[in-house]
Amino acid sequence: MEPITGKALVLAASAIGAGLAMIAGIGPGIGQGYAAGKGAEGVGRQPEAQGDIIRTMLLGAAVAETTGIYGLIIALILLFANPLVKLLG
Amino acid sequence: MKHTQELQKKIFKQSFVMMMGIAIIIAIVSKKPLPIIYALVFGTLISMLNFRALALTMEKAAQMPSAKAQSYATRQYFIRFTTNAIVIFISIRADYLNVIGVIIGLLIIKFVILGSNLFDDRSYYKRIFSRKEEK
Repeated sequence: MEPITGKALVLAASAIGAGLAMIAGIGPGIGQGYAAGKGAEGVGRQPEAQGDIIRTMLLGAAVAETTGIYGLIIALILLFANPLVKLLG
Repeated sequence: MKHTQELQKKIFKQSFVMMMGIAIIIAIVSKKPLPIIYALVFGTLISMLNFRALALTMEKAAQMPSAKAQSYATRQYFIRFTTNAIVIFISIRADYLNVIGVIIGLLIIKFVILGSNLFDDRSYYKRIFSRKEEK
């Protein structure tokens, strides 16, 4: 059996790290859905405030997406442009 | 559709101005500015389209029953998430696009929203340093 090389170990750890980073993408999806549901309830209860509700929901949802993008960036960089592999030489 | 039209225009304008500002700074500071500027423009345009898609989703979700709106918004989020993944993947693979530029472009719109709706309010800063007991 061949010994595990440093590069293989780094690549394996990076794949696990990328998988863990992708978990960050799930949270905003659930949160945004929850906010949209509550927003729809609010519009149903108070139709004259529809404009305000949608605007606030839009800004909140746009900012909430940021953390998902951070996780995605980390995962894709670990998978396709891993800076740690270059350090091994 | 008309509820967020003005807000979208305002945010698009501010994002464009911010992108131009960053592009000019990069053109002055960097030795090879073109890949970063291309990436910045690419990232900003995609983030603007994503914001437009988000606005359409929210306007439509507000008209739906609560449970339906919830699943609809989540489904649409994952579509936008996939779009972002494709854009970042392309920027990593393509030599003529800088990854950091695309990431900055994708996040510009978030900074604009935070800057124009939260950090522009002076009372926000006052509230940070004031104690709850103070009136």
